[in-house]
Amino acid sequence: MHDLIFGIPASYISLAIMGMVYAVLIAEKMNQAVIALVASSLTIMVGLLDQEQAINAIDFDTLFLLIGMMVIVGIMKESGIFQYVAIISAKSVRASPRGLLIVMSVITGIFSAFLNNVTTVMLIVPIVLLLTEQLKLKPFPFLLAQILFSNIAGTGTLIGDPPNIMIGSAVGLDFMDFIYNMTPVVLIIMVALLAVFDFFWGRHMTTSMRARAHLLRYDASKAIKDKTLLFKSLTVLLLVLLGFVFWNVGTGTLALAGAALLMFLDGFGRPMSEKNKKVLTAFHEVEWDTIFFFLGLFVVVAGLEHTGLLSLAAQKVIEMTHGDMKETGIVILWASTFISAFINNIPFVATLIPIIQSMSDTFGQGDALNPLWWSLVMGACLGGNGTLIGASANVMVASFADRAGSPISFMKYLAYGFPLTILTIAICHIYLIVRYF
Amino acid sequence: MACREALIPNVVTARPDMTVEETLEIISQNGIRSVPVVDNHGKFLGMFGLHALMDDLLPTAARVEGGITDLGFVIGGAPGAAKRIRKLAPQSVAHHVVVNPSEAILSPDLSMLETIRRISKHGSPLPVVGDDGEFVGLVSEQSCLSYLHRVLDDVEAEESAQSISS
Repeated sequence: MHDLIFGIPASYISLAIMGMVYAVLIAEKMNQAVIALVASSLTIMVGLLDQEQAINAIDFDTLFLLIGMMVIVGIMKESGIFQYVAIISAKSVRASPRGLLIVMSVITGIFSAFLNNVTTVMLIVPIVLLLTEQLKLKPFPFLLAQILFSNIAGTGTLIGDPPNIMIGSAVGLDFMDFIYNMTPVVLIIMVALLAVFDFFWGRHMTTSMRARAHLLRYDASKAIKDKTLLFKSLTVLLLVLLGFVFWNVGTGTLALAGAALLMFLDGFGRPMSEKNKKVLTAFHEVEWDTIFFFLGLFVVVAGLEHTGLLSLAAQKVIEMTHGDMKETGIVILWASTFISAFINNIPFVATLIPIIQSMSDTFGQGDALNPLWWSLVMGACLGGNGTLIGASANVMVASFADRAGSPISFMKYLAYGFPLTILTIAICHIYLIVRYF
Repeated sequence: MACREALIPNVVTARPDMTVEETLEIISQNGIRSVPVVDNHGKFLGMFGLHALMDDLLPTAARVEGGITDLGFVIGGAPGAAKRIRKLAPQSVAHHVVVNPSEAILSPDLSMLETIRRISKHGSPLPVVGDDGEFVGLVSEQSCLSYLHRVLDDVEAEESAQSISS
């Protein structure tokens, strides 16, 4: 790479390309995959990277993990498991509104920890609306809980949220590292938020015994559309999760292997034409625009990294925090929270990864940087709860609520979501100090 | 051979200020499944029919795009749906009109084959609306078939006339 391109410093050009990506994403004038591909193509065409460097910059482990999990969830959701678990949970609390608010939040959390947040809320929110309509309850607290708990629980595992996948893959943090370091704080936050929800909403909710009796008549077993598929998909998901824990062959490989196995099992014994149709349907479940968005971003960030600009940014942060690990971690936590509340956390995390990696000269190699990675994970994932546009799951819930005649305005969400986000980050702040600094 | 050839011109219509209950009565008395809703100036507003009413009887979560696609697990939901009929009855029919997509509104000059294609895609009957938005009539599967039978009679008559002359 040349220091000057068209007579302009290369760092300026790479910064302009990244700035263009952010600007277009904020303005929402172009599809995220298209702008990432345009920017990555420019990165190569202007000579910031050559094609080989660009291909080497793509983190295929992240892409394979995303694709594999999307296929598995896409097939699994057809079994009706989400509705089944939601109805069983509602019945387990005898359809009491207070209990319903808690169990719906918890099951969304559990699903989100292991599956895609957007898919989880997309499948749970309609059933939540059905149950609240049945019990004649205002859906807002339930919908707010869906958003918050999907993002919170996603923070707790390697596969819960895309930033975790990116960080885990780039740094070598595995499934159990996330369980050991992030799951405890996520559980603390979930318990705290459940208490808040119960205090402000749950304990005031009332409904008629008649409405509750009606809901108790729901037959959960009828929600299961395909028992065989349910068994197959749960088995494969379990195998993949066990693989993440016990088999160090790469998470991307395991997820893709799981997807292949589930597609094979789903088509087993069917005519060839039907097998092919099922495979195509499964691949339709992959959010290809997200995959290409990631692919493009990896190249753009690598371009930025090659100019030395990210190392410079890392040095500036270290200067600002006087080379103090604790202070740096806290700055990363809060800064990533506020930034992720307003912009897509994926490009932000992609940019931050090389910056934090550059800090190894000051703070040490390998595990020494881990507290900073956990700060980034918590800030980037939980920051998404700050506003209605902070994460894809928020937008998905808001869009569905709007269509169902229970709109959530940006300001209304902000009034509740932002203070609750600050509460969760305050808990993270304490957790970081107690556990790592 | 345009759409107007298969037109049913004098059809029963409903006014937007009618209630759902009154409009359902019109549907029932005339043994039809849907009725065009037309304002005082003859402007077409949309269709109101039993099909759309079925949708209104569902819980919100099953009505909206991306909602629940299978309600087989809801046992004992009939009283709830019945109550929704009671709730809908006094409401203005204007709130329950289904606005046809532009392709499901026919113009009198539309070609017959395109008329058949649209009926095959969007169901029957479809409204025929003039350039100024005024309601002209309906075209149904039956009216199309009747017209095509007349065309067939003409074709056969022409063919037999040709065979006699030759």
